[in-house]
Amino acid sequence: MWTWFHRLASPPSFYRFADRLAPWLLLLALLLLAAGSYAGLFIAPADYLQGDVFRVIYVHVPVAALSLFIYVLMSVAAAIALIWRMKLAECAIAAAAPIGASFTALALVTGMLWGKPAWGAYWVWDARLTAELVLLFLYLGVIGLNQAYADARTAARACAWLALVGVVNVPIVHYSVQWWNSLHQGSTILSLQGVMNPKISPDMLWPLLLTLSGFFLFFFAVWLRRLQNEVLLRERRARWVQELIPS
Amino acid sequence: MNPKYAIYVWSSYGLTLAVLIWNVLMPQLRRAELKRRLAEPESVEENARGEIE
Repeated sequence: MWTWFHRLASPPSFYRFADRLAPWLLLLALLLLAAGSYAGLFIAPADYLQGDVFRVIYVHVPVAALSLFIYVLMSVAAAIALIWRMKLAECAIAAAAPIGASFTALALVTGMLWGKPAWGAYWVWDARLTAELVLLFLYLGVIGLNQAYADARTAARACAWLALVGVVNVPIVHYSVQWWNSLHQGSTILSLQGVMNPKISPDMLWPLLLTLSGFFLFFFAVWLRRLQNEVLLRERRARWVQELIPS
Repeated sequence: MNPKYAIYVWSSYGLTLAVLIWNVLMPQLRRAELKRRLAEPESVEENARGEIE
């Protein structure tokens, strides 16, 4: 298994592996997203208290979960990049940051669109919302740092440090609804209690599981594509890249 | 769907679709641009100076 892992860490092997895997991941993700969204919009019953506006859950919860997951993934890649100087780990941080930023912004905006009818306000300086906004700034910081240096490896090290230090914000986002009084509801399924004893009816839960898995597969598909681009750029002098480019 | 909430729900799904499309298109456009720039003859000199980014 380790031989396979080490072979995958080599840029040309990874590039070919990603080329084969990404289209299938994307296809499966789009099917799951289409099915989950249809079921969430038209099949799941309306909530007894919030009515139809609760249907925002089918996009808001998966993208919010992904915004945290991607940052944790970046911090793991950052530790690998700083300790072992693995090029692919450096590329992983640069490739994940724009996707993470887009999902974090989407989580904030869909949360605002849910908050207005549910709370009567688009935005409140609540612990959960504020910590999620800080997460967006951390993503933007990583993107900015990556573009601030002419040397890709220096940029990667700066990004890795920010990704590593910023991960302290992830538990703050997740546990903010337990640690402080909050307008935001607690975890529905993304907690141990939530998994053991879901606070959501099965009729409403299964479309959420479809969109949740669809969004995660979608992330991996587009992350692989961005990773390929980073590898292509950093390995541009290598013979295997020259052979890929039609002259 | 209750029309009172339709604008919030459909806006959320519309924005999500836009973000998904952006995430699919951006790497493809970047790949095409990278391949085009790397294929240019002068890119050899640019590469040497590290200016391709």
